[in-house]
Amino acid sequence: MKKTIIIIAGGIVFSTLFYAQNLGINALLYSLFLIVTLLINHKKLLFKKTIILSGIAMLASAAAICAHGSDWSIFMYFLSTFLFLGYIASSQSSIYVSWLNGIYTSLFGMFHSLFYQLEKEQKPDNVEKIDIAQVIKLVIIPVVLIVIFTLLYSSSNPIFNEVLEAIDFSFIDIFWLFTAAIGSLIMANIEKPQAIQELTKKDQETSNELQPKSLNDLQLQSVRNESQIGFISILCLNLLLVFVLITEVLFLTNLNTTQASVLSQAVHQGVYASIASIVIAIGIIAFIYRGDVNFLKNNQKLRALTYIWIILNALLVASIFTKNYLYIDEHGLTHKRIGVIVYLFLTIAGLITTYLKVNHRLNFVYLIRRNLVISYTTLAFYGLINWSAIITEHNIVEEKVSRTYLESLLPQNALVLKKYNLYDDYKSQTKSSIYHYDDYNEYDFINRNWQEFNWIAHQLKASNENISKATAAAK
Amino acid sequence: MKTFLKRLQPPNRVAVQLASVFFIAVAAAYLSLITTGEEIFKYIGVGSFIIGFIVNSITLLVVLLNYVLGFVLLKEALFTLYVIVLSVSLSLLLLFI
Repeated sequence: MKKTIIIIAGGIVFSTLFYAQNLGINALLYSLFLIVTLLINHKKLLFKKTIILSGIAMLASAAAICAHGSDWSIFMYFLSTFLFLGYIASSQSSIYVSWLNGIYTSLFGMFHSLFYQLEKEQKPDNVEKIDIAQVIKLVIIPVVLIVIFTLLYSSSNPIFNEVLEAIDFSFIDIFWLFTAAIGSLIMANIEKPQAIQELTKKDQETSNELQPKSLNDLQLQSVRNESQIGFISILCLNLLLVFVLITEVLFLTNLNTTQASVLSQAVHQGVYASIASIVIAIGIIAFIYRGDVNFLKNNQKLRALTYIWIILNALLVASIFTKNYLYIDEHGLTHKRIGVIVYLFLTIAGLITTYLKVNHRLNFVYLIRRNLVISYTTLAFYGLINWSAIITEHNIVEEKVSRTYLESLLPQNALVLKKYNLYDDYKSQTKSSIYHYDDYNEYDFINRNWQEFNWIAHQLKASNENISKATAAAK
Repeated sequence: MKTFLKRLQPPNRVAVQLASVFFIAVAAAYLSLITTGEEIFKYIGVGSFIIGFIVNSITLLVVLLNYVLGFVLLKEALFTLYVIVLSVSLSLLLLFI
């Protein structure tokens, strides 16, 4: 009974909040509803650390949708919701398994017992063949009779006719009901989150540590050969990277502001290639230290070279950061340039986890687990901030305004443009044909239902109303 | 999942496999379109969806008929119908994005 109530309530809440609405405060309210309903079913589970943290991330990204509604906040909201559901299904799993569990439970939760044969649905031995003709007759004949007699009675009895005409079913919206059915289906799937058992079991059995194996002489020789190849390879790569870093220093010290085109080329072509080289470097280290090389007794030199290579790669990150900083200083902020900083931060995190992997003899799964957690957390925080407003404010203050770019950031930067009296001019978006985005329509954006509440839209509407009142008072 | 599919009755198993294949085809075309920007993938996606829609509609009727005639258990029939509807609606969603 409790389950049925939750499923029906889920459908009604879903349709009320999301039917024909844009995302706004409805995401936050639905998240709260989800937490309350899951709290009813899983009181003890909800107090696990992973569940609390993913729940906070879900609520925070929903609040960000309500505050500014950037694409990143919407993406992170869905990612956090799947993670939250996945952690309720299995709170001890890795982050990637939790995402898969979250998606699995959202789509197939109610068929879980069918997949794993948890309940035996026995087919009766003597299945009575359903007489379809009889079923059709049972439904159609009474319906036809009722329609005919209703028409007859309504024409013969004026009071009955009036009663019939007074009945108004226009309040029933078929599409609203359809949305409610989808909401109920989602709630039926997630009211008791389930995990993919094989995957979750395998994940929980996989530890982060590498286990030493007893090797025979032939295997030991093979590992030594591998270590030797790794040593020579990393030594050569270290020398190459030292040379590259020297040229980077020369490039940066000889740079002056007149070489904007050179800097632009260095940033656009160089940054992504450098980041790719660092990611490949992490992959090579993970490959060399994937197994028995970690347990060789005389591998201190290889380890030392690996640490040096990690440090040199960190210096390469620093040089890319400097180039990106100079570029921002010269041409102002953009989403892409902030994205490069985020990439660099994640790369540094990747290098640190690689160092920990080598130092503590950890496996590749450790690298995937830790780096995914760090990446998700970074992007979750990234999605909370209204970067379009920050970019607009910075570029206006630093006098590096590109009208086409700032127009493309509407509506997230609307309040900043208003502050600098540029909004009324920019909102028509006459210059932004080179950027692909949905056209900004002020009327649609500010005239929202309560479900679609957005802080920027609310402030814009209040400001417009104040201006209208002031104009009316002046007249 | 493979063991579960083997447990399904042949018409339902084929229906689930077909629905999955058509969804994967549309999703692959969509991903290729957004990564390469080649127009041809748009037509492949739409074409796959149209063929998938027709085939899925036929399998949906077969599954329904099998259930009404009492050859299939309720939960198995429901699961198959759900996968077909999900495949078509998610493919449609991808086409609209």
